[in-house]
Amino acid sequence: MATDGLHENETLASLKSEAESLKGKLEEERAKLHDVELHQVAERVEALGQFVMKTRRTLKGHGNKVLCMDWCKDKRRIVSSSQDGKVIVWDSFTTNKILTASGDGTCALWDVESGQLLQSFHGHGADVLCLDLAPSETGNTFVSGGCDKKAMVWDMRSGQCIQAFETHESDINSVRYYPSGDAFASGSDDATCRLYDLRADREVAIYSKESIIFGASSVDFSLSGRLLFAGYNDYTINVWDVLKGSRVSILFGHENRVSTLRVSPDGTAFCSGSWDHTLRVWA
Amino acid sequence: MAQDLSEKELLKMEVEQLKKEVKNPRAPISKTGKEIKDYVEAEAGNDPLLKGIPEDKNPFKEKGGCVIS
Repeated sequence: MATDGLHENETLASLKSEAESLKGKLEEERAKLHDVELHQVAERVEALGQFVMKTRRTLKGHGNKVLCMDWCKDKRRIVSSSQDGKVIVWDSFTTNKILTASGDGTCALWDVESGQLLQSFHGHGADVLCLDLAPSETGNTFVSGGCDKKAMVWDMRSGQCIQAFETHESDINSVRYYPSGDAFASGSDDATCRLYDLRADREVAIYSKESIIFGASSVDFSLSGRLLFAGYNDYTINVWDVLKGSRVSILFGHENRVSTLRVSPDGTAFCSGSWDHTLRVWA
Repeated sequence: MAQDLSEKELLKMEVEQLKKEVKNPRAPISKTGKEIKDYVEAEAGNDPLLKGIPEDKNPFKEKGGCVIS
């Protein structure tokens, strides 16, 4: 019926305009808290000294691009996976729940023993590329990043999205909680990394330089949260001063894109994996 | 799945979610930024990648050679 169609369009239009006006209100509320920049708060913090770090180990063994890796929590060992189909080394650490992010735009929480879906998380408008669990002290939340340029913070028990941030200009490839759990960092194809403060409910820092034009694939913090390590598609790793917003160092060594990066659990080193089929341990 | 919902249903969900988010408690950066800074300053002493480890304690250092003269 022509009249029904007209009514339908009016409702859609009014919903759209309500959504737009709410987004505007959200931006307004967040802007009110932007009373100072993070680096200004950190003005009196002692500047970092010279940064010396080099490759200590090169692990050769994968036959193709290294896609991701992590450190084992209780031992100094590393698990890595590659496009060659192998997971090298081992996972000596078992958990009974696993959180996954999918190209179907959702995240899911599974019980490993029964294979049951415990909770699903809907809200991203496109593939979810990455996720990270909050440090245990801060409770049951996790953050996810996607191809819709959004980073979303979720309550694991209710399945609800608590906060969402849409300031990146392209896919978010990596998200990582700040050690205290009050913030998280992201790395994106827009060649920037950003810091989002969960209690200020906004982005508080952008780590970028005009000379950096390739996407950041993977980010992680040093133990104190002062340093942010980020691996890029231009084969480099940039080390950022989280508080002051400046780059502390640039690390060369990989011969292809850096695809994954993780600081060891005791904070003495970090490991990077690359499409050049190697992993490097830096200390 | 999101694909199964009509545009109107999706928009309604978005509006409901945004209404919730607008009400989230939030604090100014002068306060929260300071807390981040305080955390860093408190933990900096324990951050090996920040202050460096003497080569003799570094588990990743290259093993040296041996010279007998």
